[in-house]
Amino acid sequence: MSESGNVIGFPTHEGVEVRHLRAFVAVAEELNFSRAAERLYLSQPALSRQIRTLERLVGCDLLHRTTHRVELTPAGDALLDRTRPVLVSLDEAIATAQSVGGELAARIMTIWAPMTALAETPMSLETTREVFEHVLAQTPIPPDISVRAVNAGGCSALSLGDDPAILYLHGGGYVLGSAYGYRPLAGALATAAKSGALVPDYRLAPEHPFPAALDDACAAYRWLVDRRGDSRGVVLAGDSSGAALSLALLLRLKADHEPMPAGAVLLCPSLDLSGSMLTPSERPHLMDNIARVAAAYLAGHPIDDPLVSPLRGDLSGLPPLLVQCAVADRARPEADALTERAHEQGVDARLELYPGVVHVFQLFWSFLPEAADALAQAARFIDEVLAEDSATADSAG
Amino acid sequence: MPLRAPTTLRLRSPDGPLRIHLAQPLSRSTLSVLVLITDADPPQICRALADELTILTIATERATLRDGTRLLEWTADHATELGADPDQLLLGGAHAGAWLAAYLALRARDDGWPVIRHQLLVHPRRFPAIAMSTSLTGAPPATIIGPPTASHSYAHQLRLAGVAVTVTAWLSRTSHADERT
Repeated sequence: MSESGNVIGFPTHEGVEVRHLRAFVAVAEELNFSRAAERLYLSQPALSRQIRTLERLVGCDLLHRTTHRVELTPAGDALLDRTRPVLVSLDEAIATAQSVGGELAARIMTIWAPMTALAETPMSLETTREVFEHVLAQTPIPPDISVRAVNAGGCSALSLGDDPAILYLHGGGYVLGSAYGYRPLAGALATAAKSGALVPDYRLAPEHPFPAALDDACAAYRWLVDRRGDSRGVVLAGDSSGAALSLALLLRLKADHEPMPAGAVLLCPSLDLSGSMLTPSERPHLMDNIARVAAAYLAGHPIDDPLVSPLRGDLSGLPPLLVQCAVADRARPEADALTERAHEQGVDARLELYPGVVHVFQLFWSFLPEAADALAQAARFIDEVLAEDSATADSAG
Repeated sequence: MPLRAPTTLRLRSPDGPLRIHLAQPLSRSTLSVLVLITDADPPQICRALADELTILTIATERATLRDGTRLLEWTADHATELGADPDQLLLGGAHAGAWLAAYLALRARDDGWPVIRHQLLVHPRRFPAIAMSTSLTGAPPATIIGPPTASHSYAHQLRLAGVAVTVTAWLSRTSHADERT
């Protein structure tokens, strides 16, 4: 036993790597090189090479190879005995480490679960709104941020932090969501940008279809510009349908020759009310409710109006846009198309992708590293466009 | 082929978020994907290669083994989400990143994953360590771009190991004017 103990006494023997041990265990368990190679997704020569390397490093033969079969030598037997548990605990350790990622995904799923359930069993609008607010309430509000109710040019709004420079238009498909529910996300963005955010409670459909939301966003924008003294001191931000509303606001400002803000941050934009750009989903998905959302918001208004379908608009002359999206978000083609179109039309538009599938993953900034990073990047962009504009204003003045 | 608007991807890593540059040809078909390890003007070289080769090119910003490994492994797992074919994975390195790419290609060969269809070594600086210590048999076919002198020994050893190698002075549009002389 002491001999075999010695063999295993060098698990960290210089040069012995985990893959050598895995190769050995696979061959020892299968007693067949081609099956073991298949199991490891290795070519047979690569597998043989690894076994030979291991034998050289350990200093003895571990396997007897004959034309018809593979057998373990006593040394091989001893090594197998002691290696298997090592690999199992190593795999467990790695799984535990990786589940830090998996755990986060599970946490997001738990928070979203009530909304996901709605995709399978649709409820009344009233219940859906309640569930959405409940979900939003699961995410924390950044500490030390002041929240005040303000009347922003006739639109009731929350002012998060001091001296807001960000006009935040919340998501929720024009039918759900509130300034109150979005205190966590808008507050986190404001905190990251070391600024304040104004979050209007724009009127929701179906009670108030288009253009009520846009009118309210416009009123809040004018109020904020007035407060800041300069439109270039204001940055728009919005998530999902709030990003579409931000673009609609920019298009309306352009059409009315009103001053533009310094830029816009568009988090996981959801821009296409027809739903035809969504990547397919195997399971029932909230985004499949887009037709009901569209009907509620449009209430007969033509869907090809750029103010409701900004991807159809002429984007030239818009200020810099930062577009963020999760790589596997079903609405990702909309983010791609927006960036592409804006870029073609001469707008400074940047697309930032983040790993994951979650629409508006930024909501989970308090525990999801990608979300915290995304908000930090958005804050950098906000800093940059505000600084650029004050620099331009200085040189102009 | 014209390219889509510049895109960045931010990947979680133990050293903090990695900024990754993406250059996508405007193509409706599924593209091959080139993972490029480089620290020399990544956006420019990334776009030049994507344009030249009509391939989705995804580049690190630093030429480190850690960043290269992270990007290669992430891309092998998620190429489909980027609209690329995970079975058509190429690995490349430019300048200081070239030998890291060569090394990672060998490591992938040993591990059996991910399967690298081709290695592209752009303007390699040096290769001694790997060339001397490891068998090159079974390494992915290689294209080495750069002045012959720097790449000769590695190209030679790859050929001795039975690996198909193309050495070319420069792809037509990937050059930096100052390095061409």
